Amino acid sequence: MKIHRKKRLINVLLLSLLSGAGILMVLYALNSNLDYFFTPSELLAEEVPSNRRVKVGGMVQEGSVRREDSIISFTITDYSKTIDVSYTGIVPDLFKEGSGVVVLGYLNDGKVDAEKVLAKHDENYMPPALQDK
Amino acid sequence: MSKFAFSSISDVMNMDGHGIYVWIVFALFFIALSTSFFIFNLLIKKYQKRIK
Amino acid sequence: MLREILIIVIKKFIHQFASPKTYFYQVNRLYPWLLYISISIYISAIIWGLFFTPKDFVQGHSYRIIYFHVPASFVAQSLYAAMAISSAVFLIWRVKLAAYLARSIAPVGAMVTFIALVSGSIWGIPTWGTWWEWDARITSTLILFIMYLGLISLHNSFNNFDKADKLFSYLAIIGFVQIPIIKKSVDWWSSLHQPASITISDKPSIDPSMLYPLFMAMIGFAGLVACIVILSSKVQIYIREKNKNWVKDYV
Repeated sequence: MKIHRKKRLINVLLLSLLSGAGILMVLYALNSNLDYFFTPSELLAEEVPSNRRVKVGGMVQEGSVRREDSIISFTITDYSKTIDVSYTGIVPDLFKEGSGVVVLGYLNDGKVDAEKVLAKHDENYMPPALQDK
Repeated sequence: MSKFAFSSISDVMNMDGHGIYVWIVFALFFIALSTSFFIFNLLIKKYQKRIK
Repeated sequence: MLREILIIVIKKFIHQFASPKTYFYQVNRLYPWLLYISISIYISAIIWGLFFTPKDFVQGHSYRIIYFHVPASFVAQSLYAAMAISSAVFLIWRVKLAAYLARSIAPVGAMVTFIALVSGSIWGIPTWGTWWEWDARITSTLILFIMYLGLISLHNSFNNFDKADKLFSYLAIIGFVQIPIIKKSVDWWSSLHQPASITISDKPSIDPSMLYPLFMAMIGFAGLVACIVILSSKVQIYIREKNKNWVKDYV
């Protein structure tokens, strides 16, 4: 390889290495800020002021969903800690006991008053006939 | 290949209420792809004319 | 002796292929084949996926958007990788054709990223219950879209093509770090978007009856997008080489 080409190759490699390292450092510094939601354990581990909006995600605990009029209450679990949620409104079709959920709302006395309830599904796709297997 | 997943034409359009989303995305892709082909062919013609 | 001949042959081959003229004629021959094969693969994949696959046990029929959304997202990221590689080839070997290619991929990449974002948004309404959330995957894909647009407008803002190509290429290479971040965004941070269903290391978490048409749709869509890139690169060649004799002769 000719000298000037080698020089340019090294330049390009150096450039990509440096930008990669720079971005990694930024991401490392931002790390938890890029999380879309907290798990119940993470949320309960720190003091959250009641006027701050939080996003909590996890699984809807089996047998925890209760509906009274238009209010729906349920428990989010990450299989170590749980947090109770109450919500007024319509939940998405995919909202079910035992499946993923993310709620946005305010924390009051260890309970979340939700403004928004989103369903989170996993990466598995299969026909209904196979799900019992 | 599995069998046809719907029982009627209206079933195909409706898809248990999700048809609207599926068909909007279908239309989006159809329009985006065909306009891309159209625009680039138009540009090729335009620059060919300019060279002439 | 044999080695030297081989090197000369390889050099000549690279040299020839790197010439816009050879590229232009080769691509003209290839284009109709690629177009008709890709169209037939893509249309059969979509018919198979939309009508002849069972519905999903969680998402019902709305999961069928996967046959549009996943190929588009995959191609949006692959196009950026292709653009960064072309840029590197241009910067190291000063192959002009590579710069043309990199520049011609950008608008196609922007279009594909846009439809990936919109189809994802529409898919989010019946499943997640929202059309937009600032989670890591969605946000990083939006940044990819903005990067494509930024590179295009940067290139257009120069009068001098050589300067524009160089700056474009450097920035395209710097921006490449975005691609692994998009890929890994669903693993590194908690997100609303689910983790990848198809990975290199693990068995796909999609039932085979749904997976085969998805693979077909990915191949067909990639082929169609390659056709659009070919058209776009022809536009670039017409713009940049308008004074060359072979272009005048061809036209």
